[in-house]
Amino acid sequence: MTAARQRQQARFKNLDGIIANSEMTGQQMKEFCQLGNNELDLLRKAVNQLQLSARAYHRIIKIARTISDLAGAEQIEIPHLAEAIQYRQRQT
Amino acid sequence: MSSKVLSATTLGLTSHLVEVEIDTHSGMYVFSIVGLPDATVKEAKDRVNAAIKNCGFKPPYQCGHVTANLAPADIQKVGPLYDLPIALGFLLTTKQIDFDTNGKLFVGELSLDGKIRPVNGVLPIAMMAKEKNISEIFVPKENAGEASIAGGLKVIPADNFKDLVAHLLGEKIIDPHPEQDLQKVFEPQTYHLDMAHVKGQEHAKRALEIAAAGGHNVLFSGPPGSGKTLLAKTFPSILPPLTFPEALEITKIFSIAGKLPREVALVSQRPFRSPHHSASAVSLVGGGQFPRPGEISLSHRGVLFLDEFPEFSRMVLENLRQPLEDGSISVSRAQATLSFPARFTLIAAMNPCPCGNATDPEKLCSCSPSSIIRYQRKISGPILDRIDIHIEVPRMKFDKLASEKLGESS
Repeated sequence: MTAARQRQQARFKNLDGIIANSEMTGQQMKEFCQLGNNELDLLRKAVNQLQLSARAYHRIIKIARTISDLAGAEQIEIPHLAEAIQYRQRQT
Repeated sequence: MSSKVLSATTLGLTSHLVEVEIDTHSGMYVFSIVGLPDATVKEAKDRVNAAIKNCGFKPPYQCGHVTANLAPADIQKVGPLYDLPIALGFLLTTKQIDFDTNGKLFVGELSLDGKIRPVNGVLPIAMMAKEKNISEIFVPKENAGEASIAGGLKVIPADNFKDLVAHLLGEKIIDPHPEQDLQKVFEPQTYHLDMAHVKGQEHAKRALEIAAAGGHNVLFSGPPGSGKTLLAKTFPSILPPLTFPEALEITKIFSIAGKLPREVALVSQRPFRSPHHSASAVSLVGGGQFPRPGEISLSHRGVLFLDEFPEFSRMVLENLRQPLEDGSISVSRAQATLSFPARFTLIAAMNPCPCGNATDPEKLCSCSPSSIIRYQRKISGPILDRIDIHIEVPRMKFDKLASEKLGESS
């Protein structure tokens, strides 16, 4: 927990007013949340199949970023992304 | 003959300097206060009259025509904090006392016997005073701790009007409030509830861990009695400790809302607000004739817990759209448009259907499909889309409940 927050602190130390991943803007996400090809594939499938909105797409990446921070990983990996996707609202 | 004393007013979260000018001339007794005062400011004339008389000075009602002007005249003045500067300005104008008003700022409410009563919103005023290079700020004794957080100011705690006048005349000096060691004011946090007390529900705890680490919003859904509320209440115990700038922001909001406990100078715990589902839109997002912060601003940098989510009125919940996205709320009223910070973590809890058992594999749900749909429709799609983590919290089995094994501690 503490380590995850420290990672975020280091990441946002030059940005005023941003403390947590959830507060990132689109520009900062481009900088800090680079996805690999495999991860992009997974996300593409999820967005198409679950018919997710643009907001949902961004929010999934932010959660995946937090999960990878908790795991101590530099990059967002497949398991992180998968966990983030399963937290999205299921259509009933 | 006229005199000028400095005071302050607060609009939203920013304070402005106010010059209190007093003028008297002969004629029949009239006491008029101008400069957009509200009812509490206008009532100051009765309190000032009585307090000055009871402290042994010649009161305004024996001095003919008295005018108090609160400049700049186009900003609304609210609250009783001008009693003290008006009374001092009056004594200066009528030459009953004389002191140098330069670099001194006064706020305080007077009681009829001359005691000085605490007021709201002292911290933002003290911070503004520091920026404007004011060297001394005179505040009610109860607010001195709060004012001293701003740092770099001489804070004089005033208990009653008579002693304050004696201090200003140099007859009996009041010691300034000691500069606070902020490390000492910034107490470590203690929580009554630990996550280890929640048995089972590991995936819900994992979701909370993620929410705490990244500041994401969570929606719990599950049958009654499954532990949704308890889980949410243990959430603050895993949040990272407050940093000093965060504490300052929160304290400012609490100070303006009048929610700062008198004995506490600095809020040192992340706020956890759980408004009841009968809450009105204004109480939740802020507003009023002179806009005040609502629950979402009071939970800034903390947690807003909305239990029984679908029971909130739909109108009220739709108001959360903008703040959930922007982390601030702008309240527009005829008087002014103000923006309050509102960067909170939303934790919402709901049952899946009116009887609560729709998702239970064993217990029978007594709701018709249409009533379930109607129940879930109470929360609009745009709101659900803004909640990143949706978690089902199932009913606990007996074996797990009765086990002595504690979960992972916060």
